[in-house]
Amino acid sequence: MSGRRTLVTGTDQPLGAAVATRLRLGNEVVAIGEEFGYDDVADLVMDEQIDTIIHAGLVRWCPQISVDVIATMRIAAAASQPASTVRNVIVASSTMIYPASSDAPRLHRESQELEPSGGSVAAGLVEAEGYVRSLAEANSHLCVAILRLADLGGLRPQGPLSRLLRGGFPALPAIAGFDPPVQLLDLDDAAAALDHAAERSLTGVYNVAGDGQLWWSAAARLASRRTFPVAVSTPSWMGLFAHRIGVPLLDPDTSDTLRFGRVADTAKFEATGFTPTRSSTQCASDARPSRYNK
Amino acid sequence: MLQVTTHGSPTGSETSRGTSPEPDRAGEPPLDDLDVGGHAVPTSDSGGGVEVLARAECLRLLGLGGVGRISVPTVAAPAIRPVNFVLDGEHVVFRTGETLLRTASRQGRPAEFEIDGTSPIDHTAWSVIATGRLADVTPDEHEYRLPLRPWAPGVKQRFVALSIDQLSGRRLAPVTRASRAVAPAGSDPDDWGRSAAVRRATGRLVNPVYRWWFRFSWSGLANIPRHGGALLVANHAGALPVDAMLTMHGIEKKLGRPVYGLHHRGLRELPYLGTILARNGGVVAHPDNALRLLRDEQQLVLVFPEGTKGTTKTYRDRYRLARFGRGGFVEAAMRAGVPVVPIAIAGTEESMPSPVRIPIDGETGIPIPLQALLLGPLGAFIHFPVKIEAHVLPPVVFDQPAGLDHYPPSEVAAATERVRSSLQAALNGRTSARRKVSA
Repeated sequence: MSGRRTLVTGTDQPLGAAVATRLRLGNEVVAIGEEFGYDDVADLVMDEQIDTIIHAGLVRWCPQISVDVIATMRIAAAASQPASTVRNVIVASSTMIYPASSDAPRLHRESQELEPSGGSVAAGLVEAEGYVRSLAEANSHLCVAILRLADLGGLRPQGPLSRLLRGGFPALPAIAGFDPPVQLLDLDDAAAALDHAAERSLTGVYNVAGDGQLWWSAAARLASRRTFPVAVSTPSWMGLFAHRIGVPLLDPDTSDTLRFGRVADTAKFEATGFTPTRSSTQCASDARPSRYNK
Repeated sequence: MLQVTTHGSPTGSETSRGTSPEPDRAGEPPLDDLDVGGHAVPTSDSGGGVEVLARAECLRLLGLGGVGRISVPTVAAPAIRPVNFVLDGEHVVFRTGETLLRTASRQGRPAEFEIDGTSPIDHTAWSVIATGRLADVTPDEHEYRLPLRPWAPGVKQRFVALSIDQLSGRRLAPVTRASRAVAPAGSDPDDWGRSAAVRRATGRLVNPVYRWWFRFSWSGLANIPRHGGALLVANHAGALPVDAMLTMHGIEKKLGRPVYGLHHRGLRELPYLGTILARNGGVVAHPDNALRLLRDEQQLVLVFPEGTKGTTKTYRDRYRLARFGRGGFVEAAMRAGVPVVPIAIAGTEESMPSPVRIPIDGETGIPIPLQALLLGPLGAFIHFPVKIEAHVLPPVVFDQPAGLDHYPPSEVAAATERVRSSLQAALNGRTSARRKVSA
């Protein structure tokens, strides 16, 4: 559909940039990133007569994953101000909102109850999604959709697992004695999914991931990498400290994912008529060095 | 049944739906126009659709009570009021102090009553519409019999009953088709981590133990369905239980179809062992997992509802079933519409008897098997060569319809108890038969 006036956030990161690039054909696009600061986003929405907001800046992937709850609150406030022209709000969340644990169901569904522990990425996502839900509940004229994107991979990997697959270490960390199922999503497919949600004016929460799942050992094989067994997962404080001093230790969430895996049920989003172009398996093989080290 | 006193003559018979060519027309408008978040829900290409509810299901939903909306004709325009209500037989009963509704009921006016439920996240929704006539009811004997208390304080309210002459309901079905998130069928290991190749290798190791050490024997094996899903429920015993391994091996050998075993989450956390269990058909016991295996994949699922309470009991409590869990797995079977097949296993209690246990709390503790007392810690890995007999009982089927998103806890508890008592009765029979043989 053409003629939309779209605000895309998080365009200083690859996902937001991919969305903005994609939408440039036939749409008016206002792109904002971290440096804009989100303080004046309400005025911006009014001045530019925005009708669609694609909030791709909820999760910052680099250099370390963080969740921008404040930005999400500002976006929600901007969308709900009186006389606003906004009709669609699409928020790019993450499947990291689901627990990677031994007692989680094997396939995560959108309706699952979530009780993440405090301070985690998942807790931030739950809080941010809470603001988005309140926005939807209080403004029935808005089409509000939350897309929980799987680990962003492909040629510009952003997700923690995809970054490990692509990353510069000689061997791929794996937790000894575990071989979890993982699910990947190509970055361009993620951008297309956000566009699709805006175009169809979807409402509700959807999981988005590449087709299928694959075992971590198989992902390593596809990426032509050897796995390096890490004996135990590191305690969270150690991981945080290691990050601070620049040692690439596994953060707590990644070490949980490398033990128990995290696979989301994508049937609901598929039913809206969206098909990702790259499967999870293809995303893993996209991380193979030969593809980009020419 | 209610004692209904109708005041006034029935009027407005021209609005009766009795002659309507479409019997369930009354249920159509609300759902077809139903929007979630103000926008149409895609149904045509969703794999779901609009399901017309059976009368029994409509009555069940009405029976859950709560708040509904009653609509009565007035001279100006139809009026609609929210009321809390109960279902009494074929009548919707509510209390009201409002003149409008009292007048309508005194005159025996026709009325429509509607209840609904929605889940904005799942994009599921249902509604039920009852059409009939209002009537005043004498409150005296119903006042205390019906669980109907006024929510508004301090108002003297009368009882009003709506006869259910017509009943219809619709449900927007959620997406049920298989997700592309799962691995394609036939991949090895499959979606759950079960590998047919590993299973064959394990089978070669287990078979001699199964055949010569425990001399495992079956009876009533025909009770396990050859096709389609079924929940197999067995008793659990032994400090280091072998019953799951032997039962799964036996069924796969005899029936030639895979069995998935639900196990405690703690086992999945153990390095290597957790992966080995998964490769052999182990799945973490979570009701969602059970539902997917039973309904979407139509597999056989073995569960030990006693859990660790079964494996940690002492020899004194042998063949006395411990408390079952919350019935989450029986509920999963109900929802999946598959039978529950109890399997009474005799012999496992004697193969590794624990005379004592180190108590942790009231229900569990660390069992110390006799072998460990005699031979030290390594003895806990050796089972006595007791003959094990597995007796498969006739399937327990439920009178609850499949596919509901909510089952009354009382029904689930009652069904769980039926499974448990049939298993206990079979265990009592088996063990006394065994004693006679050995005596």
